Amino acid sequence: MKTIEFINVTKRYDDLLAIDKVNFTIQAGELFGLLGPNGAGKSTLLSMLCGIVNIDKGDIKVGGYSIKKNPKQVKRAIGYVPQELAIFENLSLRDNLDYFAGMYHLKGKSKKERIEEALALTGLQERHKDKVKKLSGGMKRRLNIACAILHHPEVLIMDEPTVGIDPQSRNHILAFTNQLNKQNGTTIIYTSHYMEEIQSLCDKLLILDEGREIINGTKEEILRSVIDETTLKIRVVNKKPEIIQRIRGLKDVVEAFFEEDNVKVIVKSRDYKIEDVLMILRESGSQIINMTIEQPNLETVFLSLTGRQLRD
Amino acid sequence: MRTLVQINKELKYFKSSLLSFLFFFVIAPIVLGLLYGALYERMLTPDIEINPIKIFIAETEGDIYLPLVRQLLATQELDFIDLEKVPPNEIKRMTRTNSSSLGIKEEEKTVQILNYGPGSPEKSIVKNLVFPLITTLSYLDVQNMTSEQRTELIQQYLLLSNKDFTTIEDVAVVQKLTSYQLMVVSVYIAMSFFITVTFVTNFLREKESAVLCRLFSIDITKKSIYINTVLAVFIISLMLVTTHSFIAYHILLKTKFSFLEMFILNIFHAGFLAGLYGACIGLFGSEFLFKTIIISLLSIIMFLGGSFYPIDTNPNLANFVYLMPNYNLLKLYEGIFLDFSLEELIYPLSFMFGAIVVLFLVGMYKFSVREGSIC
Ligand SMILES: Nc1ncnc2c1ncn2[C@@H]1O[C@H](COP(=O)(O)OP(=O)(O)OP(=O)(O)O)[C@@H](O)[C@H]1O
Ligand SMILES: [Mg+2]
Repeated sequence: MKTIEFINVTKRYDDLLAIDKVNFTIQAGELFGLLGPNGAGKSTLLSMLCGIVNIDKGDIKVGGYSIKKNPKQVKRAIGYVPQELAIFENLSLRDNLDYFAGMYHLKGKSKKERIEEALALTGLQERHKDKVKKLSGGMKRRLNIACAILHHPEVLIMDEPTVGIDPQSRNHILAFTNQLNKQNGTTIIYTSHYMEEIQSLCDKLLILDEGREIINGTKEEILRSVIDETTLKIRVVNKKPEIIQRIRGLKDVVEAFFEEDNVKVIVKSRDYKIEDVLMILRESGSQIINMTIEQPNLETVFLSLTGRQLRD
Repeated sequence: MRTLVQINKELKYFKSSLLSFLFFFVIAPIVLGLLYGALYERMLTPDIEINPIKIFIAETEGDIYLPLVRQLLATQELDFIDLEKVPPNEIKRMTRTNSSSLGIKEEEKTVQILNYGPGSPEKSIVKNLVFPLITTLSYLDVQNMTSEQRTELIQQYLLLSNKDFTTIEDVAVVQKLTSYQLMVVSVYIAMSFFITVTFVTNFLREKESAVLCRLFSIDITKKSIYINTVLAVFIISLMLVTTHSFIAYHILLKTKFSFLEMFILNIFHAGFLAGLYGACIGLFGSEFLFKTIIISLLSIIMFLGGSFYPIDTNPNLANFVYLMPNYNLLKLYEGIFLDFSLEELIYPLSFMFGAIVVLFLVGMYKFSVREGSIC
């Protein structure tokens, strides 16, 4: 099984420091998310892992092999789905797969089987004879992935595989990624600037901004470490001042106040007792119209750590 | 193994645009070449038609030069001359009544040409043959020559005079390609460079470079990627060049040549195209830069190498032509059509071989040290 270690990785493009001393480890079998806004350096980091661009300082190791010293061993273990479409527009789907299968040293019967398998996994069997240029954007994205899994890589690196496509293809790709990780045990590095995708898909993640690590850990750790408070927003008619006092008296409540027509209650951690708050409101005769719980999410994590929105 | 995969893929791409390839790299160059050939042909041969001319000759006993003049004008090469012997007292009248004729007589070792009509090209030709002959003969001991010696003398004289209206030119002139051969070959050589341009452009297209990025992530060295693609382009170029040679030179122009020699030349030709391809994919990263530079470069090469006009007409540039691939390729095609010996072709052969090797190696070096870009 292959652990992936990023050791003090640094990359500079002229006077732009694209990656600045990034250190982290991905355990074998993880579905690891790499989150960051445009230009954060996600693709640069992955390109270095794949041996496409050189590492200025530091090293990346896959299963103990350094990409600098043993690129062969590293490259054999990985499958790479580039952010841009890396397929031939003028060839058919099958010819594309055939070409890359050949590049992965597959031959004869096993090559045919792997091509069928990749077509099936990405749901493209019916279109296998069509020229790529006739496909929809989502199908091209799926083919882009299919080309990277022919050789059954132990590590699959996916750079924004769902960018700019319809929800149907997107769900297909997310489900496929999850399946590959859970059923085949493939280690997956998944990059996106959609925090919802990373949040629903990945167990562990790293947030990158301007080439620097912002935070790194399991999803829960990250969410909890940054925001240990949850906000309940309850819209009521007939608000009475004494309810604020009573709510403040509850355990784990940090603060309670009126905000226009809403009662806002900030509770510590995520172990809040929503029933208690509702009980107080009902006993005081307030009528509840609407209620929202503002869950912490990666967007708010990013916001609180960098002071900026994840997406501009 | 992967070379085959690469070639197979290139062939599929090639097949998918086979028609446009055949049009641009086989049919169009032939049509253009024939067109240029026709223009060139007209440029070289101004339309002068030689009409028959009547020559009255009044030969008498004791004439020294006239028998030889008669013999000269009677040679079969000058078949537009219609000789007629007339009595000396008739010659003036006869010549006068036929204004497009000439009369020739000898008086006291002097040959006279009588002309009563307007001048004509035919008359000039005859005068230009006769006067120098007399001048030459006046230095020789004509009277004591045997008839064989005289015939020999006339033949020599005709050769020396080397007038281009006679068919004897063939004997004296160096072998040359016909206008059509010359132009079909030159135009094809020039247009074949665009096979390279097409494939390089294809390689540099954004999507293809993302493919390159994917290839860099596969356990295959940059060197093999390079060799594979160059080899694939070589094979496709060879197919196109061979097809063109067969159709243009064998079928259309009906030129006689050895197929084996032609195939070897085609290998050199395709090799150069592939070598140029290799150098370009090694040196260029962006399509725009590549196109700007390659178009300028090819224009210069075509100009200096004389692809669209006969280079020999411009002596100022004659020194550069030996460094131009198109000129050297042209020399090789010429060598095959005219059956030159290997020694005569050693320079263009070595030049082309050297160029192929240098281009290939430069491309390979630049390609292997080039860092990929993120995609
Ligand atoms: N070849 C290059 N030369 C100079 N700068 C580059 C080059 N490639 C990338 N960069 C810069 O490096 C930074 C990181 O780019 P990168 O593509 O890795 O970001 P990203 O996180 O993948 O962004 P996106 O979400 O838009 O894909 C950017 O500021 C980019 O402009
Ligand atoms: Mg990116």
